[in-house]
Amino acid sequence: MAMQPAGPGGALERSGEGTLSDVITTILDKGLVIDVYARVSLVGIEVLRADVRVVVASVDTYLKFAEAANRVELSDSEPAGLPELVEDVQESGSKKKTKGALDAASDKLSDIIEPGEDEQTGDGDHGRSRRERRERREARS
Amino acid sequence: MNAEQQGIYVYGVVRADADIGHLAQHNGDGAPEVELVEAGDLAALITPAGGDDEASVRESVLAHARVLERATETATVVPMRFGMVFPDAETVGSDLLDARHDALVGLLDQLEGHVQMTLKVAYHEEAVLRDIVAGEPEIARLREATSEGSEQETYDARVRLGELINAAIEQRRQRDGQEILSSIDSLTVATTSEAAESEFMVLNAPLLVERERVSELEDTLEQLAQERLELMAFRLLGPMPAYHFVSWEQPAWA
Repeated sequence: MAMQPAGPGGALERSGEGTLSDVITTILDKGLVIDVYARVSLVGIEVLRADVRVVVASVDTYLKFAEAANRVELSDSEPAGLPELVEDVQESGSKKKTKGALDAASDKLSDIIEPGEDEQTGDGDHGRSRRERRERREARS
Repeated sequence: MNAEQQGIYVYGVVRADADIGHLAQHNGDGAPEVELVEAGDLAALITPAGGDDEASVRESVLAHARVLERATETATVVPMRFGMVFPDAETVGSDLLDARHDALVGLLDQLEGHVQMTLKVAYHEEAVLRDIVAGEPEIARLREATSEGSEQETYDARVRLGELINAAIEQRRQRDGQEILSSIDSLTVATTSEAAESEFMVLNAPLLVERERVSELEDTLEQLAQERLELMAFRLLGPMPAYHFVSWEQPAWA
C-alpha cells in the first residue's frame, strides 16, 4: 500500500461520530423505527436533548446579533473620522469574551453532559489522525 | 437471566455473512461486545438492553453511535434509531428480520458500497460580522448608533440592526453553502440537510458517498476549508451508517 504524502494544513476537522451533541440529534431522529417496540425510557434522553439548540429567528436573536456586532473589533482599514468609535472598540476588546454570546447554550450542554469536553473540537475521534483513519480504511477494503 | 428480562437492544441490520466479527471483541474503545441474531440471509446487531437511569442512557447513546461506526468500517449496515428494545432474540428474528425482510434487503442493496459523511460548516463569528459591517452601510450606521445610549433608547435600533444582520448572514449562508455543495456535487450520491445548530452555521449536510470516494471528498473539502480558513470552520463527521438515508419507504435518490 503506497504511503500518501501528508497534505498541507489540517483545515478540515475530522471526526468519527463527533461529540455527544453531534450524535444525539442524528440517532434520536434518524434511522429505522419499529413503532411497536419499547424504546429506552425517554426521560433520560429528553434531559440530553433539551439543551440542543434549535435556531429560530426572533427578537431575542436579533438583540444578540446586535450585541455581537457591537463587540466585534473592526479591521485596520477603519476610516479616519470615527475616533470615538475606534476608542470604544479598543476598550470593549479587553473585556471581550473568548466565545460569542450565541455559543452559550452549546457550552451548557457540554457542561452538563461531559464537563471539560470542548464542543467545537469534535473529540470523538479516538485520537486518530486523518491519515491514520484513511490507512485503516484502505487496509480493510 | 437478567439480559432476557431487560430486553434486547438492536443497533442495526446487516447481511448474515457480513464481516463484523471484530464487533464481538472487547477492544477498549467503550463499545460493548455485540452479538448477532440471525434469520435467513439477515442478521441484527444486538446487546442486552441497558438501564433507564440517566447515566446508563447517556452511555447507551454513545455506544449506539460507536457500535454502528465500527460496523460501518467493514460492512453495510442499516442503522436503527436509538432505543429499539425488543423483548427477546426470537422477536428480533420474527418481528424485525422476517417481517421486514424484503425492505431490509432492498435497503442493504441500495446502501451497498456507500457510507454517510456529515459536513458541518460554520462562520467564525467575528470574521463574518466584520465582513457584514464592512459591506453594508446601513448595518455600519446602526452599529454606530447603538454603541451608545441606554438599552431602552437603543432598543428599536438594536432590533433593526440584528434583523439586518440576520438577513445578511442568511444571504451569505445561501450563497456560500451552495458554492461548497456544488464543489463536492460529483463526489456525492445524495445530500440532505439538517437543522442549523447555531445562527452562524453555513451548512449542516449529511452526504451519501461511495466508500472509494471518501478520500477524494476529504481532500476536496480540505482544499475548500483552506481557501476559506479566515471566514469558516469545516468539520467532517463519518464514515457512519446512512442514518439520514434510510426509511421504510422507497427513497427518492435510489
